Amino acid sequence: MAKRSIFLYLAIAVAIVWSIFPIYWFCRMAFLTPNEIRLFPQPFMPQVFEFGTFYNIFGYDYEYAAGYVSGASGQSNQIIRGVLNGLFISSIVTVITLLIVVPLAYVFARMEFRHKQKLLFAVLLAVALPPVSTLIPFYSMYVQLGLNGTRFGLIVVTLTITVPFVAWMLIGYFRNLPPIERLARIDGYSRTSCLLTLILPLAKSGIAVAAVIAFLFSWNEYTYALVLVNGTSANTLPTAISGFLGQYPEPGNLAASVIVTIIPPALFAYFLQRHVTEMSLVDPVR
Amino acid sequence: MAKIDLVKLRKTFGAYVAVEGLDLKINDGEFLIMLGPSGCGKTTTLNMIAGLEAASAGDILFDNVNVTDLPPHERNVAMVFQSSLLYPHISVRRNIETSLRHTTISDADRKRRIAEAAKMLEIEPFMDKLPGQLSGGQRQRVATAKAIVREPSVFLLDEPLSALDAALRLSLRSELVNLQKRLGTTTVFVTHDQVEAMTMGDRIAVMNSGRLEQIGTPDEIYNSPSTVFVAGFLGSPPMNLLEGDLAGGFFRRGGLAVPIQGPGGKVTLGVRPQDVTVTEATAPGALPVTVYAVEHLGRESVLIADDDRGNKVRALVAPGWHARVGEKLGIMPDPARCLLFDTNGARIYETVARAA
Amino acid sequence: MAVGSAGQAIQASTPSRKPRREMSDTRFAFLIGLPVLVFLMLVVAYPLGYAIYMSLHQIVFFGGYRANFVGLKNFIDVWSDKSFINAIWITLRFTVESVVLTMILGLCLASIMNQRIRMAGLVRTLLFLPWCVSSYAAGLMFGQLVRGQTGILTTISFTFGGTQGVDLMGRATVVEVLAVANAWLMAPLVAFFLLANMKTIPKRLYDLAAIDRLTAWETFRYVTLPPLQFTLFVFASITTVLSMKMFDMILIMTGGGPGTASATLTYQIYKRSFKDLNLGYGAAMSFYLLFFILGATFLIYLVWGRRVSR
Repeated sequence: MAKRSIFLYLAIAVAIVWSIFPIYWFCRMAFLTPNEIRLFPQPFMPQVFEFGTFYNIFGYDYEYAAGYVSGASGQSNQIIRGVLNGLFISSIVTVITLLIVVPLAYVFARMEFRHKQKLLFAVLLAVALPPVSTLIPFYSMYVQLGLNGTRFGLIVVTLTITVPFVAWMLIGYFRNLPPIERLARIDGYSRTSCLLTLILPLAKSGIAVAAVIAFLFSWNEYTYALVLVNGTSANTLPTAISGFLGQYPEPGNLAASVIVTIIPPALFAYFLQRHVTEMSLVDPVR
Repeated sequence: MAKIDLVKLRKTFGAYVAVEGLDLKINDGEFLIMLGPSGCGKTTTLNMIAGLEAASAGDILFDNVNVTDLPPHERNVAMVFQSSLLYPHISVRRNIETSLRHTTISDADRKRRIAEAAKMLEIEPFMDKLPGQLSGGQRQRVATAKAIVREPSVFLLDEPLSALDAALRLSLRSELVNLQKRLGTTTVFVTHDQVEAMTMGDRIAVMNSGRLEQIGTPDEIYNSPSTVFVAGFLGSPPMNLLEGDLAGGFFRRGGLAVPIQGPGGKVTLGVRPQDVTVTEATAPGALPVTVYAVEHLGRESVLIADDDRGNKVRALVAPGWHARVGEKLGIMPDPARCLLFDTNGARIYETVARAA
Repeated sequence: MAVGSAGQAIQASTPSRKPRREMSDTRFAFLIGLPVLVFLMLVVAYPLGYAIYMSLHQIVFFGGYRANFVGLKNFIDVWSDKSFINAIWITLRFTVESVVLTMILGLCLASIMNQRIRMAGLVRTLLFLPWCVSSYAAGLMFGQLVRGQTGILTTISFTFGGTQGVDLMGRATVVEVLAVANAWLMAPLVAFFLLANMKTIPKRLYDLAAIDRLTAWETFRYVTLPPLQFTLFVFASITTVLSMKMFDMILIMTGGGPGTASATLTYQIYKRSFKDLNLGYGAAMSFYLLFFILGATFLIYLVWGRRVSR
C-alpha cells in the first residue's frame, strides 16, 4: 500500500508541475528586475517579490526597495479600460448566452420535432466556423453598420462563439436529466412553467458551468477583439496586453497583466471543481 | 372512480405502428394489468390513457366522456412511472404537494390529505428528505403517495416495481393490491412480469406487437389461452409448444402420438409441464427425449429435456425424482389437457380428446 | 364566451373533438428555438455569404477597390499553391498530435483527481488552472518557456554545466511544441468531464476487479475506460474542431515560423487575407478549412461515434 501511495503522490506532483509550471515561468517575470530579465540563462526564481509591475500597469510609479523607480506604463490606460470593458462585455455576453442557450439546449435535448437533426447540424456548423475566416465579413459588416470599435459590436460577435459552443455542451447535459416532464404534465405544469420552476432549479449546476464557460470564452477572446476593437475605447484586456508586444517590450508589465487576466477565471475554476460530479455526459447510474 | 373505454385506439410513430386498433373496456374499480414483452405497445397505451401521448386515431372515454384531447391533468389521472420517478431536487413533502397544484381544495384539506397519504404509506419519517436520499422501496412508496393524494379517478402505473429487488417487490405487490382494493380506484398497471400480472390483476390484457391478444381473468388467461402467444408467454415453467400434424384422430410428431380429434393439417400442440407424465423412452406414443437438466424448486422439480428436433420440453416431476443428464426418457401429454393452435397461432376450439 | 347564435350553441353542446390542447413539442420548440436560430443564421449566414462572395472574386485594393468575378478560380488555384498543401499537412500534424495528447493527458489528470487524496479541492483547482489561461496567453507562455533565449531548458542546461541554450522552436519541433501547448490548454476541460463520468462508475466494479486480481492497468483498461467511450468521443470531436480552428496561439507563439514550419491553414488564411490582402484567395482557403473541419468531425462520428452514441 505504501508503494502505491508514494507512486500516487509522485503522480500528483508531476501533474501539478505540468499544469502550473508554464504559468509560473511566465508570470515569474512580473517579479524579476529589469537586470534579471536580461540575464542569460534566466534565473529559476526572482530574488525579491515586489509588486511594482502591478502598480505600473495600473498607472502608478513604484519605488523598489533597491532604490530605483519604475515608471507607470504607457499602456496603463488601455489596461484599466481593458479590465473594465472585459468585465462588462463578458458579463453581458454570459447573461445573454444563458438566456439564449438554456431554452435552446433544453428544446434540442428533451423534445422531438421535425428537422431537429438538420438544425443541430446548423449549430455544429456554427461551432466549426473558424473566426479567421469570418473576420473580414464581420469587419466589413461592422464598418457599414458603424459597429466597429463598439462594445455592442464585440458582444454580438462574441455571442456567435459562445452560443453554439455552450449549446453543444448543455444539450448533452440536459439529455441526462431524469424525464420529469412527464410527471410535470400529469401534475398540470405547462411547458413554460415546467422549464422555469422545475428544470432550471434541477439543472443549476450545469447552467453554472455553462455560465463560466461563456464568461471565459468572452473574457479570453482575442482574434475578433484584435480586429474589431483594438485601440478603441471598447478595447478588452487581451488586446491591451498585445500592446506590450509592440515596439517597446516590457516583459515585466506583460507578465503582470497576464496574471490579471488569469485571476477571474482562476476564481471560477475553484468554484467549478466542486460541481464536477454534476457534469457527466452519460446516464447517471440510478 | 371511472370506467374507461378505449375505442379503436391507434398510435403510430412515423411508419412504425405502436398500437393498432385497440378496443378495451376497463370496469369501474377494476385492477387491470397490461402484460406483454417490451415494445408490445403497453406503455404507449398507458401514456395515451394518461394523455402524455396523443392518439393517432380512435377515442378514449372516461365514464362515457371523451377525453381523447384533454391534457393529462384535466383527466384527473395519477401516474407512477418506471423506477418511481420523482422530482429529484425537491423534498418528498413538496413532491407530494405538487400533485394538488391544480385543485381548489383548502389548505387545511391539503395538509390533511398529505398527512393521510403519508400515514397510509408509512413515509412520515422522511417527508423532508430529498428523493435521492431514499431507498428504491421508499421512493416507490412516495411515488404511490403522490399518486393517491390527488384522489384520482384513474390510477396508472408503469412498471413501478421493475427496478426493485425481488423481496421488496413481493411485499410491495400485495401492498399495492391491498391499497387499490381499499380505495377502489380504477387502476391500470403495466408490466412485463407474468408473476406480477397473475398475482395482482382482476383481469389481464395481454398485448403483443401493438395488438390485444387476449383479455380475461388470470384464470382464463392461464387455463384457456386464446392464442399460442398467450399460451407461451404465461406460466412458469412455460408451456410446451410442439409443432406437428393432426390426422386420423391423432396428433403426431416424431414418435409422439396424442389421441385428439380436430380439423386436420399442421398444428401446434400446447401442454403445460404439470400435464405430462414421464415414461420409458420406448413407451408407445410418447415423445422420446434426452435429459438436459433437472431443476429442484423445493415443492416440486422440473425436468428439462431435449426432443429429437432440439426443442426444450419441460415436465413437472415429484421433488425426490432423479435422472442422469443424457438419459433417454419419454414424455406423454395428457390428451384432455392439450390445447391446439393453428398455423396462425389461433386456438382451435373444436377438439375432442379421446382416452389413450 | 358571450351568448352567441344558435349555431354556436349547438356546436358547444356537441362534445368538441379538439378542445384546449396542450402545446405540442414542435410548437414549443419553434417558439423557443426560432428567434435564436434566426439570430445565429443572421450572424453566421451573413459572414458565410460574404465569404462565398469574396471567394468567387478577385479583390483588388490598389488603384481603387475592385471585385472582379473569377468563378471558381480561387478554389482551383489553391491546389497548385505549395504553401496551401504544406499548410494542410501542418494542420493535420498539429491536430492529430493535439487531440491524441489532449485525450491521454485528460485521462491521466482525471485518473489522478479521481483518487482519494488529501486537499483534493486544491489539487483539482491547480490542475484546472491551464484551462483559465486564454490561448493567446498560452502562446506567450509556451513561447517563452521553450525559446532558447528565455527558456527553462536553457536554464536547466546551464545549471548542469551546459554552455549552450536549448531551443525547441526550431523547424523540426515547432509543431510538436504547439501541439503540447494546445493539449496543455485543452486537457483540463476534457479531464473535468471525464472525472464527472468516472464518478458515475459503480464502486462495486472496482471491488470485482480487485477480486479478479486485475492489475492497475487492467482495471483501468477494462473497468474505467469502457464507460468513458461516449465522453471521449464527444471531446475527440470538440478538440479536433478547436485544434483545426486554433489561430491566436499560433500567431503569438510562432507567427507561422520559422519560415513556414508552423503555418497552419488558419495562419495561411490570415496571411493571405490580411498581409497579402488577397481576400478572395483567403476566403477560398477558409472554405476548404471549413470542409476539412466538418469532414474530420464526420469521420470521427463514422468510425467511432456511431458505435458509442446512444
